[in-house]
Amino acid sequence: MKRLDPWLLLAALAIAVCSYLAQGSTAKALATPGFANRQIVWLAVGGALMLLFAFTDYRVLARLSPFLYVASIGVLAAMFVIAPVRAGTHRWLLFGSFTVQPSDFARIATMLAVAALAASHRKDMLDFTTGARLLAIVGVPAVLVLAQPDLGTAVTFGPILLAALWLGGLPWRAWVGLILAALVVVGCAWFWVLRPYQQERILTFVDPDRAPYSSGYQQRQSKIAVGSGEVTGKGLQSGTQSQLRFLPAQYTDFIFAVWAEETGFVGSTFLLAAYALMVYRIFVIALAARDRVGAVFAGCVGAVLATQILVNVGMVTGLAPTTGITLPLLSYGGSSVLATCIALGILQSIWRLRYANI
Amino acid sequence: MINDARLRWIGWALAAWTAVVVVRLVQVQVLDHRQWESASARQREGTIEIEEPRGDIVTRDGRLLAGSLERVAVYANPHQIPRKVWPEVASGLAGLVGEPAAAVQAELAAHDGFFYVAKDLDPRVADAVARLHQRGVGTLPTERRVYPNGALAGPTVGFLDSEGRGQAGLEAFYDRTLRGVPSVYHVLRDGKRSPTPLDLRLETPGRPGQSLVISIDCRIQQVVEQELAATVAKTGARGASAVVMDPATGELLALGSVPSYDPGEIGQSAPSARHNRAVEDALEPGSTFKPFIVAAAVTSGVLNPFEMVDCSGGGVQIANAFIRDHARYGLLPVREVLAKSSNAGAIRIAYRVEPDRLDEMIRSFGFGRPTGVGLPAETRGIYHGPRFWSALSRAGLALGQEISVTSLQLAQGYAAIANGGVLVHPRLVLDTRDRDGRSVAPAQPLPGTRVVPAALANQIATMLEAVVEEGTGKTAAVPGYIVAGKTGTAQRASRGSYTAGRHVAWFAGFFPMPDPKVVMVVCVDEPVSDYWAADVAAPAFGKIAARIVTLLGLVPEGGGRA
Repeated sequence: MKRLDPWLLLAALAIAVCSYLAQGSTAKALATPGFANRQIVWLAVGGALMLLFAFTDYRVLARLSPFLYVASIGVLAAMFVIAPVRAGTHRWLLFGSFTVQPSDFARIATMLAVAALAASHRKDMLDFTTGARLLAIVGVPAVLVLAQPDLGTAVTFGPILLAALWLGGLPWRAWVGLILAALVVVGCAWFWVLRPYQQERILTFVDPDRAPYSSGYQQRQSKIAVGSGEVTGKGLQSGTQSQLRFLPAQYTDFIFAVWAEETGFVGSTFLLAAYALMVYRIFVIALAARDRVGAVFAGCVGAVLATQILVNVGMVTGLAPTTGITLPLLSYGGSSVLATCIALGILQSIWRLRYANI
Repeated sequence: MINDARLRWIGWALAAWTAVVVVRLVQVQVLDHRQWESASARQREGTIEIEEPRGDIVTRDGRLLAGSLERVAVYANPHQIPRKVWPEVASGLAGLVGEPAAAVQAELAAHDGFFYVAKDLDPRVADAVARLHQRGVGTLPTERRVYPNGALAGPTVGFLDSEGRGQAGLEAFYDRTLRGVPSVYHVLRDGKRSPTPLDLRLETPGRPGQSLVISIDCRIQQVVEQELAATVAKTGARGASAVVMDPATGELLALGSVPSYDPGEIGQSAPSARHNRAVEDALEPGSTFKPFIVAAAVTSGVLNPFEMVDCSGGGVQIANAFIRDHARYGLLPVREVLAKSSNAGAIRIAYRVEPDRLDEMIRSFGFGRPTGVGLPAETRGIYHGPRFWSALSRAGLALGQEISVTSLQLAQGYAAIANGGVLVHPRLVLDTRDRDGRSVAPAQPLPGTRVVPAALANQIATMLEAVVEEGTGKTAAVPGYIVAGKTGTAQRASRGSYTAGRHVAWFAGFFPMPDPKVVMVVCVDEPVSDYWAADVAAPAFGKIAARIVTLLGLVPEGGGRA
């Protein structure tokens, strides 16, 4: 226990407490007390999983990564057959009253596979073949998830690739080419992949008056919630924007707005500080890792979590378009909480074994 | 291991990004918070109005024509009721609202927010609902408008629409008085803009509606409606109206309009019944108008009340029209002109009067403008001044044509003759009272206006006695009493010309002479079997008058020899 990173634990614990309090507010607003209670169960189970993975040797996981990766690709592919259509997507598997979102776990398998591959490459600079293999490893699950369709989760695969290519040592020239290629992909995606509602969200972000009562409405209500929280907030379970149900998707995508409204600038910067501490420690772990597997894995986790946090908070405060990206640990959702906890557990394992002579 | 510098690059990029987010939070939460708080307040704060109890309409003899029963409405907000207690809540409410529990539960499932489970329930349901102690379920006080006397004076009382707003009669004209001022409550609205029970507080207290005491005497009203209905049934008329008025004060003792309707069952009534004939129908008065021509001639100094008028020739040639009389009368005194209702005599009198003097007299008797009795949709009738007259117009007016009047206007004119020459304003509302029965606005009668000298009014009144004694109005007589009055049979005009076979039969008069206490006008619209006023309107007048003298205990002719 002593060999775990206490700061990462502390940050996770602080976020978990905020999560329970914020979920309690939305549960009251939506008259669904079960949600807050379930979240605390998920957080507790997640804590246990974190410890389990912390005391598992991450190098074993890295060696198993090809199997884990193939298995998760199989599940993602099978989703189109075995997952019922809910809310127009094949996103969830149903187990009784529980829903599981396999893409959250597939992301961890993908990060392990990426880390394992990057580690097997011994040179400082990444060659073309390895770069292409990294692209394929990340691209396959990302496309499968995008096809469910689940843009929000698919986008979170992006930072994995970028972090792997960057940390793996892709030359600067290649980055220029990559950025050009990305522009082409984005252009194609706009016309052939994005659904009209997704295009509308981006357009609405650029020009919020486009749809003040549909997609622009959400962002406006979110900004009202954050802004009217002022410095000290309206008090827990007293936020009018959440309690009177002006806020959309308030227990998932817009949970930060609930927190910001009820705890004000003080609470929202406290939460952001906890997230910053978490990401900072992840990068410290990446620097301290004994091998490339650990370093690249930690770098990927840090990149994904940081992207999720900053994009979600940016969305809630009107800096980024509404993308459906949730806030790790704070947003309601068993799969997301458990997957994040597993990733943090693997990071603790990397930290615990940084000097280990085995 | 890996390129440390590259890892630090990521760190710095993320730090920069974080800084942007923090700056954004400072901007939104610290610098611009007022803007966002007011946007939040704008969309959540609201007010709702809750109606205060509506006032009653009571007659002078204390009968309730319109009143309100306390009722309750049961509401539920499924959003505030945990789903697992729905069956329990549904079965608790089922018995109270008289629906099966399954139906109540289905309603809970069907609504996303506040809705009424049932309205118009016994007030005791409120206690029973309170005993359920369930958040999201409650009662609100409501009312049901009741009209205990049914169709009695229905068109005068009027009715309410489904929102509780007066749509006709006194209910409409005095809607604001009866309704009072609703209380305004501050509420919070939710994301669907529905009011929520959170933070419900009284912002502006309202004022309960006030009650009206009206001058109608229910007994007389009943008599009037019975006799009118009998006349309509007997003659096959489209309808009939009657006005019974105190000539001294203008108080209306009865205002009959048949067919009538029950304001509580307005949906059951024929649309044609839903108007008040006594004030909304303008019809030509026929010969009932002749006394006003006589008054105009005498006040203009062109007629001596005792002179003999040429009624010869069986008619009069005016311009290129010959207007026929009922018979060849020769010379008749003025009282005989009225008693026999001689057209030739009346026309010759009319042509002695300067048009402007005639117009002035017609207007001073209240014709051509609404009486202001306090009922909606009261018409001013149809009357145009001398500027619009043709060579034949004075002949027309002498016969009660070229002018349309309401029964109420005619009663007002006759009251001025009955009371010694003073035009009084007809009125219905005697008093306005608050919830505790205290008088808040006793209606002061408007001062009357003298329109003819008392001596002339009395002379005309005496002449009208002759109509009933020996002339066309014999059927209006009341044994033991002296009745003054005038018949009138008008052809019904439509689309600019008179229609053969469609008539209006009038009788306007007052009793008991020599000190009349009651003015009455009876108007029968389009009688089919008989149409002469003497056969249709006068008998109805007589029957009603006979019952009124008993009801009011009026002293017979000669003081007590009934």
